[in-house]
Amino acid sequence: MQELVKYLVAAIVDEPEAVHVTASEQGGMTVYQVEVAAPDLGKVIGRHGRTADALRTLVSTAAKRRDQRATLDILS
Amino acid sequence: MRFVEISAPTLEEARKAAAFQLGVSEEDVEIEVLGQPRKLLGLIGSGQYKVRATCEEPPSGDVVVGEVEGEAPAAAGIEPPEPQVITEVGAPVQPPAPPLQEPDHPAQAVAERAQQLTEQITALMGIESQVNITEIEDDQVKLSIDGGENTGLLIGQYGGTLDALQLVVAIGANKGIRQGCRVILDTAEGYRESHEEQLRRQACEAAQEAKETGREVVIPDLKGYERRIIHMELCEDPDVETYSEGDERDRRLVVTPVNHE
Repeated sequence: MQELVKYLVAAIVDEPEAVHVTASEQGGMTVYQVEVAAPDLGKVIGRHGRTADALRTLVSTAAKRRDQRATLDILS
Repeated sequence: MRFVEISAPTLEEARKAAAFQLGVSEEDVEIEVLGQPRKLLGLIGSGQYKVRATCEEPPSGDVVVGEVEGEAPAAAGIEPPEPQVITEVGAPVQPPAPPLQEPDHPAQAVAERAQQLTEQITALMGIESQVNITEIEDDQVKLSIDGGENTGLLIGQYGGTLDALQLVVAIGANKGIRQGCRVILDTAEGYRESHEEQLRRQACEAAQEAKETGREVVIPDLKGYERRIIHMELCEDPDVETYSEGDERDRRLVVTPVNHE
């Protein structure tokens, strides 16, 4: 799962080597904290948060496939 | 409780890397093996152990992967391994790098990268799929995904997952390309195409109703491209006009009858 999060974010940003992902467990749900280089922040969030929403949808679908629950937070 | 997922050639290396990433000593890390090394095919983690390493509360604040932050972990005297090792084991699959210069055939380049991205993302999601390029035009490429029995999961509620995948793939595939190229992902069964057909039918029905009753017909809960299809479908009908009103999530399409004097 963490690999997926890293891959998705790295695919979007201009500085993939600056992408860091950590995970924590919150009430039966895995939350992936994503950190990117400052100039890439707007790219991962997108207009009206559209890109961030899309990333969350994909992560949650992948979790569902594994009978888990997961979401993603972008640290700014 | 926090954890990281690590791929490494041996369990010992995985434990070391995990302890470093979590910022605790090796004894404090619980290792759960998620995958054994696979010698034959298998795109991901071939020849590597995949583990989930868990530890109790963090020793100090936030831990940044690949960097040592703040004070050394509780058990002093344990040197973390060289950072280079971590980046290597932590990132087995990389997205395709953007081209260094504008390619001769941008749409072709976008299509190929979109194909690669879609295959790898779905594989990492645990949904093996076959992706084909079905159309390449100057400003638009189309790809189809065959997800087998998991196609429904790939489409998601109201096509939400397919839309999300399409957006991420479009951004990734257009990276480093000056002239943007629209990327359209459909399923092998043609989910998008049949959905569009259904929207065009809905448009005609709404127009019919507006003409018969002489009143406005409101169609709520449409996505932007769905509204566009309906506007396009009805733009040549002289007896109705269409427009959208409302903000963001409340935006709705209105079909209104035209009174010819």
